[in-house]
Amino acid sequence: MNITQDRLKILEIMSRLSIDRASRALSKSLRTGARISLSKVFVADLSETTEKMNEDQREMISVMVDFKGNEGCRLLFMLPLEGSLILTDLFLRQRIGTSKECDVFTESAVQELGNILASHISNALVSDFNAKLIPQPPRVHNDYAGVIFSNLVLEQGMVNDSILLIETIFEISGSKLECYLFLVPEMKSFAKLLDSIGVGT
Amino acid sequence: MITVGVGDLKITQAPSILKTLLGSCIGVVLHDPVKRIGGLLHIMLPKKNGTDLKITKYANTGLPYFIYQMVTHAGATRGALYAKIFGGAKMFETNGLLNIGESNELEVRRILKDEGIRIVASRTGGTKGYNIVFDTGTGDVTCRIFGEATVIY
Repeated sequence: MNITQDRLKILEIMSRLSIDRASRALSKSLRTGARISLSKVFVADLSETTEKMNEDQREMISVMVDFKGNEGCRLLFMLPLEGSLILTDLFLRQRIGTSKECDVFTESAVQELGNILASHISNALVSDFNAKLIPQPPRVHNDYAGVIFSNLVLEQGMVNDSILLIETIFEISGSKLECYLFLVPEMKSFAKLLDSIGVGT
Repeated sequence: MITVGVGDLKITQAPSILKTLLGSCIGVVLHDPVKRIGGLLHIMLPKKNGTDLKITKYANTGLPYFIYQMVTHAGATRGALYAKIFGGAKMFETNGLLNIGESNELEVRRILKDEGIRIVASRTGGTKGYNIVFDTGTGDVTCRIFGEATVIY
């Protein structure tokens, strides 16, 4: 996969803007500080990056959202099962520690979080960069971290040995939630978007 | 303990432990119980569809390469090799893809049969991920499907 440093830099700026907007929207919904900050935008070797994720054998709950439109992209948010209980309490505006087990409320909370993140990320890209991104219904899945991550990169991995990955740090104030949030842009369509806003190859 | 990523191959001599996580991918373990040499191949897709892609991602190119590496470079005896296979789950009902897990499994079984390597144990299918840990000394594979009890194969 060939991508210039200039293009990576622009993608980083676009990601930062859209993630900031999603972060603010999430804080509003949860009525607490939710801070999502961009960690890095990079081209990762498929085997190396999945090897690293396979080290994390925790059981997680995840939400994955595909974006259709002119620009293809996939979003993955995942957190450990115990963290999802905190998230459920925050969404239901109840004291942290009230939810005791993963149930339909937990799944619903994670699904809602996926909706909020996806819609605000796509809104930012549509309004600021004239992209056409339509979030598809979120899919919730419980599994090992490495297995969920492999699903995220499966389609990109079919046509490339490396993947373009946007990695973030996700924090919710007052809780020790350890979460993963990744975005995997479909490189061909994003190249067109970068062309359209004048970022040359 | 050595972790194997998607589309990767690791071969070692005992004492060593190889581990990986599998979704729709298939994990193939080859073991020479006499020389105590073992390897784990993490196959992502059944057939290679490009010229410059990593060959160990695909069953049709990765498996022959795996066998070749086991015998030629690691020093295993071909006649002593046996296989164990895991994974091939159908992870999402609505992901628009074909059942990759099933296609992977069928291709792996076909190639191993053609290569004359016995499959002595397998656990495939389902909708959840597999956590497998392979002991190259004993040949045992400890397999835990998400949400289920651990089983040794």
